[in-house]
Amino acid sequence: MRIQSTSEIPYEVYVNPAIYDREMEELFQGPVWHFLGFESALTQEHNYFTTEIAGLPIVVVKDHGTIRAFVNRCIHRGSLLCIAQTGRISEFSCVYHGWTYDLTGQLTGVAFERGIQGQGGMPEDFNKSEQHLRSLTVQNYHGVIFASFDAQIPDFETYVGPDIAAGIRRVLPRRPVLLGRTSQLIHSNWKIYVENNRDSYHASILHSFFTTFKLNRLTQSGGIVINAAGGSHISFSKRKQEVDDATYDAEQLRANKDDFGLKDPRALRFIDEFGDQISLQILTLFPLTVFHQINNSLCVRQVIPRGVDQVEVVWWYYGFEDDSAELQEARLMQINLVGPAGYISMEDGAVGGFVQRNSSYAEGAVGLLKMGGYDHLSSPSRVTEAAIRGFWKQYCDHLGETIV
Amino acid sequence: MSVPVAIASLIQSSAAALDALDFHHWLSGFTEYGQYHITTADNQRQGLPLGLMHALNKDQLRDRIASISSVNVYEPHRYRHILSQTWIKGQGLELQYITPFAVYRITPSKPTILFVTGEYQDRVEYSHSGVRFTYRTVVLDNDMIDTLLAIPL
Repeated sequence: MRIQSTSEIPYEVYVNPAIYDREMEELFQGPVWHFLGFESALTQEHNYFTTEIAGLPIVVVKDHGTIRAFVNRCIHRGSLLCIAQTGRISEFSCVYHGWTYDLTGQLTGVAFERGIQGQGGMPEDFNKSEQHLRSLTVQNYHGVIFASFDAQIPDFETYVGPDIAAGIRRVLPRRPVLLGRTSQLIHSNWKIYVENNRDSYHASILHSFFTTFKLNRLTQSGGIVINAAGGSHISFSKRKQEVDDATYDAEQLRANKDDFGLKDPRALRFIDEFGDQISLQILTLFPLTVFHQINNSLCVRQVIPRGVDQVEVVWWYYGFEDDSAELQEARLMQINLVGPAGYISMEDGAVGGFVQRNSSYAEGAVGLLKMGGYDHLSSPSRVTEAAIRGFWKQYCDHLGETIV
Repeated sequence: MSVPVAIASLIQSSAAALDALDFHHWLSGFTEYGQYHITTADNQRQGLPLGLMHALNKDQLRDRIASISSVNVYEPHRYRHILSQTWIKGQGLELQYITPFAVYRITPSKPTILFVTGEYQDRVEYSHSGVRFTYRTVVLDNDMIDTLLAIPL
């Protein structure tokens, strides 16, 4: 199966298990950065939390001020080392056979290493000092912990490029604190979800709520920014700077329901906390991370592939320790807009499944990504699929055009 | 202390109204300033304020019903609530009526799934017209929502 053009994507990429296997082995464990969680979860020395990268169990621990991440797997027989979601430990200790590791991942203890009364035990050539947990490269970027399986990966800011890095710092002016977490299981291949995040064209068409309340219309001033690698992007729009209302009304979109009004519009309130009038910023990081700002809802979406036809999205809503009561209330009210139950985002949970159900029987057909031309460049227009084409460009750079 | 029949009946009829997609009847179970929240056991245990739905009065619940009835796009589906016996937790101002539940989701031409389990944590108020919710928190046992949560629980 070959991806001949970033504007024509064979539906087979969403259903072929051999492609999924290559993604798991080569893409996710290759030179890419993944979101792990917030630094604020590790308040004390020796705090840890467990998480996942594409289904691989990961443990993140703070030791002498340094944040380390390891595959949460004993090298002996592969059991999980840390079972709880969070906790505090002075060493890793495997429940299965009692092997222990220090917090740098170095093997320190093997139960009955010398056997009992000279019988049994490990062979002489087994040297504990040569044995380590599989460790990841970790970077704490403005209070958010990222990791990569590749020890040679460029630092995070170089990887995403200056424009995307600035977009992340914009929504991380201070250290983020978790306000709540939920998760959503979507019945589609992970790529359908991450394409959806890069699809600035659909947002105000599928999501009636956006358009009806002028939260995000394609006529609002804004744009998309795509990094040089192609796979990471920002789509943004500003409140109250509409350029052409008439275009929308002429289209008579189903999404534009002028007869619908909220009895209590508090959920729509926008406080310009970053001082730039930008009320919407969807920022994707290749391959599995999304940062969103929708009004004052701030969130990191952690995308976890769950097999070829399912993907879990974990929503990490955050705020800041010094949030005013007004800002905190805005963030709480806007939970009605975003997330698995959100007036805006709920539809993304459904539409991915609609594409997936058709992908198995596509018989060589391709999906078209020609809106806005053939490039994957930044533009002031959001009537484009350039950011999705950019995703496929970087995808092919990692896996080659001939995927299987 | 046993649960008054009127309260047990409110809790039952609220679930039955949702199962029948009779949202008007469901709304009638709340006072005008009645609050309604859906969160997860994890978030509640950690004292994290954000969950899945957050309504501070009945108008916000009316908005939810209006939005899912005429604006949002999703596959038509309905629920089947299975409620366990309501019990009383705390006393005085802290008194809550706790009702464990399981909710199945029925989508045409798909298998019925066990959608969520959890408990209602309710506070109520009596008036001349009957008993209504003033504060209803729906605490889900698990973080994960299959596909989406449009209809309240």
